[in-house]
Amino acid sequence: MQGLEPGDPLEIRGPIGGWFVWRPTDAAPVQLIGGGSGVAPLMAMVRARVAASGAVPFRLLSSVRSPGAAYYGSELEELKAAGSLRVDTVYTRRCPEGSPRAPGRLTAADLESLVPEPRAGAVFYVCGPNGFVAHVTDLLAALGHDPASIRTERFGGP
Amino acid sequence: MVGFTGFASRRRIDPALPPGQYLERGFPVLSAGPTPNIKRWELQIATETGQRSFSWDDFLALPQEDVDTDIHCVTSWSKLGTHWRGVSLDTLFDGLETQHRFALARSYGGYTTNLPLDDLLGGKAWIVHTFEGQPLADDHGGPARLFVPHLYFWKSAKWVQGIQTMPQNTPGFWEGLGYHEHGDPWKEERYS
Repeated sequence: MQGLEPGDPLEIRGPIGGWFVWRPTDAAPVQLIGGGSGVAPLMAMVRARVAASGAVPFRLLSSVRSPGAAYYGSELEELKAAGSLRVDTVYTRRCPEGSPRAPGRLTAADLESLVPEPRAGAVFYVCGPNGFVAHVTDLLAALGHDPASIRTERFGGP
Repeated sequence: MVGFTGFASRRRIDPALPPGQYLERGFPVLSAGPTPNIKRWELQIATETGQRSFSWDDFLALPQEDVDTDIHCVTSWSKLGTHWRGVSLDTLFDGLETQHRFALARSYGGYTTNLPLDDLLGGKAWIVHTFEGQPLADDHGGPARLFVPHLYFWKSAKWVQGIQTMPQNTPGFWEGLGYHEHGDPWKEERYS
């Protein structure tokens, strides 16, 4: 936005790329993994899946700092209640009362229990800060998931 | 109705910045997938008349060049005055004959990008292993990446595994998804 003044006209083109995108014609099961606000583009896929009322299994794993930091809370609760998709949330700093999992970043054990097995052939969309995406994709590869099935979108520097 | 004009008419901040670019002081990481796990690094350079393979030690034994230049990412950041070290593509292709005019770079992990051979030879491109005096970090393409700084940085394929000359210009990964086949930042060749 450098060099722009209020009132300057802007032209917008896009979206361009089409890689970090889920299409209703895609047949593979989908596992979305979001770190913090990285859930935003994943939510677009969730809404596209709901709008298409497709049958492809869809799961969302969301990592957030604390219960108060969750994104799209009520919308996801409604979708969960309607059985539209499975939503799992892990907390890195503070958990809700009575949570069996201690707060902390995602571990291999978390992923083993919260995402499909490698043989399920799921496509993974992972979005978040660069450190989160690097950590999660390393864990997925170590668990035996095909690196070619993992798509990433990152923000922030190292 | 006027078509999309891009940002060419925008006020320029710094004459070293191509149109539509802003100055970035960090070093953002952009990758379409995971950082590949490279067990044994080998580089292959091939034309229709022959092929050369380099082990890591072979590669480091070749003449090394220091490159001080600016880099430009199509997502609109540029870094000015960066320092790299590596091997010129002229050195890697030395002795290999070709009539081809294009090349496809292929990376560990499956990424590809296409370039005219004229943009790889003649002191314009390197395979680099050092950035600002340090071994190139794996999320920036280490141990070694293609480095074609006069084009948008998606052409500088991370984790490069090989370069093959091609009789036609065959789209690589992003080029097949709508990005420009050439990618000159001064002409804003962002999208096809």
